[in-house]
Amino acid sequence: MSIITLIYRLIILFLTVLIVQDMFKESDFWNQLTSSLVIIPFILRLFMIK
Amino acid sequence: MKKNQKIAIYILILTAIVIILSALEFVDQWKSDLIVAGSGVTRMAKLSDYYPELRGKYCDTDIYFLESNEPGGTVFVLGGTHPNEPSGMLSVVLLIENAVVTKGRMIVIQQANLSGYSHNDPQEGSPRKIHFNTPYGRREFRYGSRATNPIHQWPDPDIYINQFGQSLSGSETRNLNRGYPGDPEGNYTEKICYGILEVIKKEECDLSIDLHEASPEYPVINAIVAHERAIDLASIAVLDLQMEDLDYNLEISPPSFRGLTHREWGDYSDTMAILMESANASQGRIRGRTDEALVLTGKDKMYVKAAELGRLYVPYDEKGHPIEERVGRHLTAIGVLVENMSLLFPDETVEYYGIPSYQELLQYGYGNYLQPVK
Repeated sequence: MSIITLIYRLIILFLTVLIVQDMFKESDFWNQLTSSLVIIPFILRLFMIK
Repeated sequence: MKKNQKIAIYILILTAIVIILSALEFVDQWKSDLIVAGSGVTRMAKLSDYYPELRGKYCDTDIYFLESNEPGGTVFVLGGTHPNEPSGMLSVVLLIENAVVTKGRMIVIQQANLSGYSHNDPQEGSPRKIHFNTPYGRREFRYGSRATNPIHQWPDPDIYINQFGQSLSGSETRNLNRGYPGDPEGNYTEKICYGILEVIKKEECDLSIDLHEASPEYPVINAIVAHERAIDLASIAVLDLQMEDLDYNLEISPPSFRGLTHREWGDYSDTMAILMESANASQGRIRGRTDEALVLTGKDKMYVKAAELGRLYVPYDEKGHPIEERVGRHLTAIGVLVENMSLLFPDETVEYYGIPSYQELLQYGYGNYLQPVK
């Protein structure tokens, strides 16, 4: 794995953690749902599946 | 625990299920296609046998040797440069499973850009797989993406500057047919190119053929593109193919269009380099519904309309361009090229049998010529 790919994956991990944290703070259901949609491609790329 | 936190947990559980289900589907695309080595296959190798740095990497594709005991020439046939152009790969599969070489030898690769087969283009509506009914059951092959999988090569630059200093769009950095002659110090795709050219050079291939498909609105279609050292051979072959009612356009490889097989194979080795195109609606821009049926039949009412308006470079009607026709064209053209190479260069004669004719493919279907999986 190249350095740039490692940094890329760390950025994705960081953003995913932030989004999950935000989901627990968010009181609006639709905003929580929107956050979950953002997580899906992030997780798939974090594990280099897609 | 607050109500919104409970909801967050429920949503995350649902999200995890969606991620797992979609991941299973994506991972399924990584599985190799089953290819049956026919009685004509004498040995197999890996691309990494020619360029060891590829060993253990996903792109390390199989190479099949079909050899005779009689001395003669060497023909190299490459399918799957672009995994969304299935007739090339399917033509090579029929060679692997059916051809028996009686003079000289053939070296074939069915999936040149194996990485491209490990993903597809969902936003293009591309099917993941294509299926064929055979006398022994159902066989399936992957329908991939035009380019290398981004999980193997990332990131794309804004502009891809190839090895000759020419500027191409960034995504072309993952296009196998822009990266020749390849570079052992280059990116993932350029390394695959390097490995394939090493096969041609080390095996001293006399004739090398790269099989492609093109969208019906693209000018270079139903065509043979030849390097200048192969133009005599290609010219004779085009005439012979016309005698068999198969029209082909003959194109000379443009000297300034760098990075492509028909240019760099010829420039960087002693081989006669040829690229061939058939008509594939499923990769075109004005297609309608995109699914497996379109890939296999080529039937598309949008292309029929476009043909009526004179916007296409191939005839197009309700019959479409079925995969049997496209594979039949490739296999017939390979046969004619090999036959004429033997006439022009008797020391490089290659002879083989076992391949269905164009008419047989149309009559009995592609699946009829696939061998049983053991």
